[in-house]
Amino acid sequence: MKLYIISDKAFQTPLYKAIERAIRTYFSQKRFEITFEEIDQGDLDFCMGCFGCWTKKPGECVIPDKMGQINQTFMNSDGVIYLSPVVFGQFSANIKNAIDRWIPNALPFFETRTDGSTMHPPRYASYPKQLIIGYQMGMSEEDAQLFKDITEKHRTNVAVITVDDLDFDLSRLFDSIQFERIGGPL
Amino acid sequence: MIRAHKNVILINGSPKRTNVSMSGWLAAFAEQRLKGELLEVKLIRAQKSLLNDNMAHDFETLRDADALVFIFPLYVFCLPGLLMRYLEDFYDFLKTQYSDDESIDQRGIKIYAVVNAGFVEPEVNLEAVRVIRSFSEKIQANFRFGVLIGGGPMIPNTQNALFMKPTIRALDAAFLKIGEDIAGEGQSLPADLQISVNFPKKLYHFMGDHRWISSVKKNGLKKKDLYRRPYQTLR
Ligand SMILES: Cc1cc2nc3c(=O)[nH]c(=O)nc-3n(C[C@H](O)[C@H](O)[C@H](O)COP(=O)(O)O)c2cc1C
Repeated sequence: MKLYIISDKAFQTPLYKAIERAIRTYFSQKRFEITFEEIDQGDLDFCMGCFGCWTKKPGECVIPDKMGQINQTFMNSDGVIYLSPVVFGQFSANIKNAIDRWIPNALPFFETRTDGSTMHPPRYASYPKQLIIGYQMGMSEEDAQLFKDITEKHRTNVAVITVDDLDFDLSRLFDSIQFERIGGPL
Repeated sequence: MIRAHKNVILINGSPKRTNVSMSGWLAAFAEQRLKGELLEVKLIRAQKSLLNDNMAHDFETLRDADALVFIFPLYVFCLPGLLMRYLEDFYDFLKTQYSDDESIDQRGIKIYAVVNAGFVEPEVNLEAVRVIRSFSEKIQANFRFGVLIGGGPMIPNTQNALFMKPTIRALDAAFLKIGEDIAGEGQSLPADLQISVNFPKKLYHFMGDHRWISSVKKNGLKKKDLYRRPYQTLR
């Protein structure tokens, strides 16, 4: 089983290091093959909203940098964990840019979901199971809730958790998630 | 002398590398409605400042303003990475402006969020407005309210069509309200405004889907190329 971990190199706080250690320990015991991606400022150009990934080179970002390889590794993993700092209740700039530049993996069309909201259909038959871990020491309850809402209110099949101090235990959460590929809506 | 006017900065947060964007259109629209005797309005494009390394100059302008209006597109249900970079850097800049034992204090500044999305439901922008509110709290600024716009990409091209009249009127009213709120001493906090296109959702989706198909064809590809799975074979 392949696990891909995407993290922000610019926010490697003691809390980050503790979470990273917990992930490495847990998943290497479970014999996952782990690939770590640390994204630093300047590693990736910003998404420029050109939609070339839908109409020029369908399925691939047109910017020739490391993002192509990140999307390829993403699509070929069984599980993906985003390890994101919580900044103003959202993903940090580095992580958010990698998420913006993930959209080549969806199709451009509009779909109305059963609750009346809109979403794009999947491009692939299956995707890795995703978990988003938002970390920041002493974050406010509002920021933690906002961080969860951004994903939970709008996405299917993506789990989110926030960690706000060093006294955490993620193993029960990891036990409860099947890091294997899943189909269905994004 | 009584300081009669207020300085308003409109920050266009679209990551597009051109002036032609919905946020650019909204910023121009806002400028027209806001500028007048009481308000002096200045436009800043975050993407351009980042590219030209002009941030320090921008941030001084932002720091000294009376009101900031962040105008930007929704990207994957929150702020684009590029705008996050801009806000993170502005926050770091403000920290350098105060000594260690002082917290950042931009109490005088009023902040507004104008968010537009490709989906027609304006409420999809709610979390993005909350992010701007959270940012405002971190710099101890005075977040006022948000304008949530659905169906954004459709508006500039059809602004003169009859069916778009109610939307344009609602946008007019929204910026008028922002202007009044900036100029006023109002204690009460206005509610967020939600604006969408007056257009059937099914037809909006149909036209949108059609637009993707015609643009791949314009790029010399076939309709079926839209469905390519470049990362599929490896598995
Ligand atoms: C990377 C990316 C992600 C987007 N995510 C969303 C989204 O989650 N919901 C939505 O309604 N529109 C989304 N959009 C569409 C934009 O919000 C819409 O096209 C907007 O009008 C662009 O504004 P601009 O021209 O000012 O950049 C996304 C666009 C891009 C490029």
